[in-house]
Amino acid sequence: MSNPLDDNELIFQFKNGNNREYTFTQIIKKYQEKLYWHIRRMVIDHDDTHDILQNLFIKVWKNLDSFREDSQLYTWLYRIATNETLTFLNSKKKKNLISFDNEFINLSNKIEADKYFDGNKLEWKLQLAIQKLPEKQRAVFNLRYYEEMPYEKMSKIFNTSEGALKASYHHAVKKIEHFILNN
Amino acid sequence: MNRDINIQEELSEISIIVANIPFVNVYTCSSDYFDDLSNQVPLLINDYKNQKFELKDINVNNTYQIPQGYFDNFSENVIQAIDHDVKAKKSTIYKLTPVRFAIAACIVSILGIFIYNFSPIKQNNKLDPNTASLIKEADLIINNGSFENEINEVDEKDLVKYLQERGQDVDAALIASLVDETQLNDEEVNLYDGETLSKYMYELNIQQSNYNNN
Repeated sequence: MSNPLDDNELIFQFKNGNNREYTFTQIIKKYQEKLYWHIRRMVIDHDDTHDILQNLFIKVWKNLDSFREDSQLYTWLYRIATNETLTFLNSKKKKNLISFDNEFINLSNKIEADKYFDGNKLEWKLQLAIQKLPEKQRAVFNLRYYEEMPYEKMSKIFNTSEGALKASYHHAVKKIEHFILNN
Repeated sequence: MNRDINIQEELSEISIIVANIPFVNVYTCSSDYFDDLSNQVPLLINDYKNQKFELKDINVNNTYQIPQGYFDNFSENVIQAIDHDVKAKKSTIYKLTPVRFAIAACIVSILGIFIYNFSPIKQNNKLDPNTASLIKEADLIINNGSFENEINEVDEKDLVKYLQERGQDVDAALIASLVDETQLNDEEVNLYDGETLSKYMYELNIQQSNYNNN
């Protein structure tokens, strides 16, 4: 199996190549799983994740020609994914007029509806605790905890200083600890 | 799932409890989901590329209804409405103008003396108590917006005389009668040229800084 192409090469081929669909499929294959899990951990529901991911790739297709390579494709994709996810969560909140607490209940119900859910298991408690975090803090925690993303890369995605992200992650972990100890 | 050692250490420093939670992905999706996705998205993109907007494809039958004869007198009605609007605005301006001229003239009288005779550029001495009190009084009138009351107490002959003597300041005086330039109506702003506005604003700044110094 051949090695996946480097991002710059993929962008070059997309912008100048004849087979743009093929090149774009390579980009999808390279990033789909990472982006899927980043979105899924935020919205929980697979169907919602699927919709967001499809829209995301269509947006990327429309805008890749004008993508200025002053940022990396990787951070650009994560930034779009994060923004799309936050927009989705906000619009859902507005549509259903749900408060933060109700949203937590909503997401908790989705977690508990999972056929593998076991409320006694720490890993499921962790999921409930993560859903209790404010959305942006949740995204920061997930990227650091699950994706093991360096703060430097995260700062490009969130357009925030590394110090602010470290503080956000620290607070998130403390809140999770508090939730686990009290539930 | 294996953890990056640095991230695990960082987590342990913040919370041992969270660091000890098994690092697993609790969510699942079908094993062939990602194969399907990389095939589905290009199809969606093809759909998107094939969406061409053609005017000819749109049914020309208008689905909306309008009252019968709506357009028969449409242009006349619009012209009438414009005429009515213009007349209303003109009458408003004429009704207010004599009052504003007079009030403004009074203010300019005060400002004029102040700006040209007592500004720090011309004279470094402080204001005498009478002038300072006069300026404070004018400032109070401006702040209260009680121009109409004040003007009712001024003899019309004095106003006419004043306007004849200081006619060149009338434009600036009109602007001065407005407490706050942000409250200028568009129509009124258009009555004055930029030079008059600039001149007045410059003078007003001198007045304000001098007043504050006292």
